[in-house]
Amino acid sequence: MQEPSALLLARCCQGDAQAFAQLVASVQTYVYNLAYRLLRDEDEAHDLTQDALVRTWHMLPSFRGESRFTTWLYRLVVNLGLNHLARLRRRPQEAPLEGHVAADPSHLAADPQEIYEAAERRRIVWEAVDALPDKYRIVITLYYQHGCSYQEIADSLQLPLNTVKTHLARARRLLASRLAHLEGVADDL
Amino acid sequence: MICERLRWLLSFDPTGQTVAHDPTLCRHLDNCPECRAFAAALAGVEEALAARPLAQPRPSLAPAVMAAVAVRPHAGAVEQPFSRTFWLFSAAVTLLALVCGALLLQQSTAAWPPDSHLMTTQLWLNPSWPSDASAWLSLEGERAAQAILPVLAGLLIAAGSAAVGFRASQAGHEPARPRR
Repeated sequence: MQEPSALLLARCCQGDAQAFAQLVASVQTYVYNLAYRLLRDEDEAHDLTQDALVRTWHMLPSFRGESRFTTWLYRLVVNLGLNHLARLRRRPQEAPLEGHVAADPSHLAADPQEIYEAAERRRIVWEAVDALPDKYRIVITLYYQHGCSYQEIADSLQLPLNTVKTHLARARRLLASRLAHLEGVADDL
Repeated sequence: MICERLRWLLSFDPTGQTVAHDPTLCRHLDNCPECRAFAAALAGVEEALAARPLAQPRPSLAPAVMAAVAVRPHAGAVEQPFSRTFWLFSAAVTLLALVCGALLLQQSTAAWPPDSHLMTTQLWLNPSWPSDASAWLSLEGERAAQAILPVLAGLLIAAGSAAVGFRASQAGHEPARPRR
């Protein structure tokens, strides 16, 4: 997610609704995707995204700029998402959305078989991401889907840098083992 | 053992640069089919994750957010570490404590023994009355404590309110730490 300009944030802080509409347009996709990875449910993710963005509007005047806005927003979404998730734990899980994983444009010119296999691998991997423990799922989502650096993730989640690196490594290892197992390459990785 | 080390290093650095600097690990990777399979699976995971698939939210999301925002607009940038209610409460408590202290002081002065100044003079001129002096000091101490205690209590309450108000105002500035 790109950091919004200081001018746009200042206008939002002053109560400029038009500026906030611009901010919503630029961040809603990222907030929604983070919410979806946290909750694994489309309707709940929309509710969480709406709640997070409305809270952002009300909390913006207290944003001091001590951290990046994106870090501040991720922290807000993760906090809300974890609280929301705790309430949802009692409910049965719904099946993941078909076609929720967007197409990768880099494969458009490739062989149809390759396109299919790559899409299938992405689906398997992201389903495996959904099955990871919360702490691993959040760091994987922020690192790969949102392009956050280790430091930004550490700031967003208020975790030590080395913990973030360890979470990522463990998550990658779990995913690689899962993928290798599904592809029948090795059962004991 | 070397398999475990190699897989951990690859998990920490999927680009393989760390492993590439270690000839022992490179040789092991060439000779161990399981580690090669792990490295291939990890590369597949990296490729799949790096595709960054982003789903689009519903078109109704942004209008719904803006509608909610229009219902409850915020007052703009207001840097108020303490609320008005807090200030009024603190001022009222402090004033009350001071008034109570003043009244008690006045009462204790009015009930002063008429010959207390003579006692003081006698005490200075003839310090051989230890028991009387001790009693007088005890009486004066009690009166002072009666007057000062409410003031101190009021100031303590005011300080406590300040701490609570300041903490509450700070809590609103940054989102709280995620619960684990």
